Amino acid sequence: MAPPAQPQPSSQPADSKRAAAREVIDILQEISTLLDTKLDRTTLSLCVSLIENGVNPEALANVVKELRREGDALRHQRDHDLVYEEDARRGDYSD
Amino acid sequence: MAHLAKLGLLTDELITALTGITEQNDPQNFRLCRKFAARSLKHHNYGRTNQFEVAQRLDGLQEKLSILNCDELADAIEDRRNEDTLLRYNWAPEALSLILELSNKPATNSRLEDLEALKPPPSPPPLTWEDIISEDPLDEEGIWDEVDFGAESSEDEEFERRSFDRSVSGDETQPSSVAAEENEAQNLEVTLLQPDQSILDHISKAQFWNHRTRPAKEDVDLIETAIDLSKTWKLSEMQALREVLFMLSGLPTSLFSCDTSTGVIKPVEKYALGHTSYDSFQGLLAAFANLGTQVQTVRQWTSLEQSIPLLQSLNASISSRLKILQQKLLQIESRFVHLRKQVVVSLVDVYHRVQTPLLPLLMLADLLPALKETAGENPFKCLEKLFHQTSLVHLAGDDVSFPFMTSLFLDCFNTYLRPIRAWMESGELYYNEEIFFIGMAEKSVENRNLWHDQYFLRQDHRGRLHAPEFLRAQAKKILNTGKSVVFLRRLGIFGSRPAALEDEPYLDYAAVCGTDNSIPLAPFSDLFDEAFERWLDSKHHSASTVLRNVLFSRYGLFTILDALEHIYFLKDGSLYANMLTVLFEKIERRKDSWNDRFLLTEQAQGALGTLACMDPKRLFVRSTPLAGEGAETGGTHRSLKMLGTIKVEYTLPWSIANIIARHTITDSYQRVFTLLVQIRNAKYLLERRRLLKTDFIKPNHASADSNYDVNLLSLSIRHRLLWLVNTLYSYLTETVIVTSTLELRYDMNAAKDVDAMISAHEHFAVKLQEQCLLSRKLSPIYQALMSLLDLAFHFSDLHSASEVDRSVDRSVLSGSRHDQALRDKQYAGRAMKRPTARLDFDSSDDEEADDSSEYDELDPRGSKGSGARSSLPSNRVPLAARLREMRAEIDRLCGFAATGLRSVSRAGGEPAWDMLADMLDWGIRPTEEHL
Repeated sequence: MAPPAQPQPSSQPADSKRAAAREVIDILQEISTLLDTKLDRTTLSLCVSLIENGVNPEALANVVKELRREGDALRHQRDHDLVYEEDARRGDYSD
Repeated sequence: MAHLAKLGLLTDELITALTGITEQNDPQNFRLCRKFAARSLKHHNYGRTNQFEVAQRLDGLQEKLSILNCDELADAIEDRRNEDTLLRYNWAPEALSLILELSNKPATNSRLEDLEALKPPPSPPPLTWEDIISEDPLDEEGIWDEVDFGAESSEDEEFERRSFDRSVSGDETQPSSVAAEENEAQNLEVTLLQPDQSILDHISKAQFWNHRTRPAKEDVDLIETAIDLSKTWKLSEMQALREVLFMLSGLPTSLFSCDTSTGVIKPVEKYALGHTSYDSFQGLLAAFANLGTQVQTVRQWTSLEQSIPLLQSLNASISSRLKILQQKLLQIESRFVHLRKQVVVSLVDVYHRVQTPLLPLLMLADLLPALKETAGENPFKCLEKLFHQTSLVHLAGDDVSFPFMTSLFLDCFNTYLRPIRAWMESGELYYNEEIFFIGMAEKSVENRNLWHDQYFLRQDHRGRLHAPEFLRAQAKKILNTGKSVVFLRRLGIFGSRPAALEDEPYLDYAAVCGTDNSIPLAPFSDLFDEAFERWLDSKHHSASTVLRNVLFSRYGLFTILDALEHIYFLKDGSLYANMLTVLFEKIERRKDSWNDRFLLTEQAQGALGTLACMDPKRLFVRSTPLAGEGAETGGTHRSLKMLGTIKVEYTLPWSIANIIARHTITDSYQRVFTLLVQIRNAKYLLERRRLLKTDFIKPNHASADSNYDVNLLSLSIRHRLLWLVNTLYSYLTETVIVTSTLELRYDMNAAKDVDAMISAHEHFAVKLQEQCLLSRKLSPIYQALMSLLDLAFHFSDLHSASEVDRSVDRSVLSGSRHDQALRDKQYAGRAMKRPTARLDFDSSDDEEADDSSEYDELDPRGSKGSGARSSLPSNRVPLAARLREMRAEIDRLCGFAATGLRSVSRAGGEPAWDMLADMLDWGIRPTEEHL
């Protein structure tokens, strides 16, 4: 009979590493909130991952700003379309 | 690729998180966003994040928040910045930079309460056994019963178990479970071995120290000499032998007792052999104990902790020798353990066998206390002792101890070699004054003095080198090699250790004494010197050769020597011709600007700058102000002195300046230059004083001191002086300088290291100085020659004055008013500028006169000469007399110089001086005969 599987020795450092990463994200999120960056935890984690992969933070900040603007524009557009459709359905623009 | 894919995935997620669109719900916009993000992240103009700048920005922000009365916010940011986790996080500056970029007026928009929202909901308390038991008490029936784990075993296992049981029990019926347990216990008892009492007895009997064996009746005769028989324990020779070997191995034994305080081993008196007399046995044991005591001394020494590296090496070396001894003792013991053939068990035989391997250790036991004592005083003294002892052993022809001592010494010496190796290979010094003999100057030294002043050989208070005696002869070489390496490193060449240095011969017994088993015949000191020389050469040659080649090829030592020859020795006389002519004229006319250093420098640079070997920017000419400007001091003509104040300087690169020392330039080169220029000036003046043919038309009625006689006399003096000046110049340039510089080049080429180059150059400078008659011991001859040059200057002055007189005389006769005015003016000008024509060599009391009195004296019609020299004809009489006096003086000085040179040449001086003396004489004699 095979002996029972021993806990992997590498899992402990991996856990501590994960915990440390979580702590870092916690602190960064706090600072981010204090500076009112409006980054939620997921976005912040994604940004940090990108930075850890060598992306320049200033370039990333620009991208974030642009994407936010784009997102707002799309949302606005969508809302507008919805209102237009609603109005069209109601027949306000029938004339 | 994996990295790019990861980036792409993260970007996609970011787009979705920020815009809410995915590839599925809005593929067109998503692709646009992705393309934009990828391009923006890849191609941007932002530099690398500067962590200090980020910290500064955050500091600024906090300060701003504090000013805007948001102290709590600032403190909260500060607290989080100082969190350990964040400080340890490598990407913190980048992440903070991103946050800063995205921050949006924190002073107005941020609230501390927002942080509360970030806190995760409280996690449920961890589940404990108390909670489980309180909910579900463990009091069910049968919960603590044993579980039959085999109940669910597979059929195969069951089958195997059954078949095994069958094979053990055969066809018998299966017993009940209780009966089976009893059977197993019985089976275990059966399997336990029963001890053999006889073997146990044998073992306990062998422990002679626990069980006394009384002497048998037949032994009584043999041990009758023993002390009290009732207290005597008998043992066999084999047992005694084993004990002896144990004792020699440093193990505690029953046959010997060891005094722990003194380390002295003594035989225990109660033991005796059955077949040997008690006294003999005890005597033999005492001999063994004596050996054991000394070995134990060595063994104890090795167990001590040593702080001095040399002693640590000695310790390690002795320990390895003790291991070898141990192996030999084991070999002896093995003869009595593996009894394959009959062996005679004899303590006496063992005593003889162990003596040989023990001999060097016994000698060492005597040496160790002295070694420790000397090592405390000076670690290398320990090496000296070992060296001395090795030499003694060699002299004694002890072929057992000699290899042992040599190896021991070389092991220690190899440790001592470490700082030497480090110094010779990389120019690094271990700053341990106790061990190393090379020291470094405390204050930093200029590069130009690097070779001479930076490093030195350390000496003790008696002035002896702080190194082992046997190393002193090589100390200089070691110092030089290290200095070469330091030199090369300063030149930026010796970045890493050169490959050639890797293959150094290891100094071991074979390297020093060869592989022959017998003791070499040559003295150990010679053998060691030879081996060490080879070791040194492996390092010395490469470092020195590299430096030598670098100095020759990259820093152009010979090119600089060429340049110096051109500058100081006027190698190409034509180059200087224009500059010197202008200079001589200016001096003659007493122009104030004669010593304008900028002009002189420019002229020199212009004259010599065309040479390939020259760097004109390095060449400077300067002139020191002459003491008592305008006066003739010390009986020497002023022009001679003036020329002596001109100093030429050629700035050498620091690497070359280490070889060509500054003092050689000022002592030799500059003085030779001055002498050559002075001779050329004299020659220039003499050649300018021409006599016309008409001056030599013999008058019909010859009167005493007529013009004709004066001119004749003048011609003869000019001829003599010219001959003298040419001879001297030719001697200096062709005989001395050419040969000396050639010799210098040869020596420089042959030099093996920088020290040899320096000494070659020093030798050249000293020799040059001596051959040019500039050394102190030749001072009288030099002074005589200078006086002759002085005479040449005075003769020129006198001749010019007489020319002026005659021109004035002629102008009076011509009667032309215009010409008269012109000549008066000319005369007045020359008379004012002409230096005095003094011939009263012996009366120098009036020489301190100022310029005006000098010019008065010069003026033949001046106040001083107004009585006898009121008219021109009357002035000719003293002129002739002066010329005669001058001729006599020239003869006297030439004679003196020639005689002096001959005598110095014969007294071991230069052979060329004899030749120069002949030349000087040769110049005089025909003139004498002619007159």
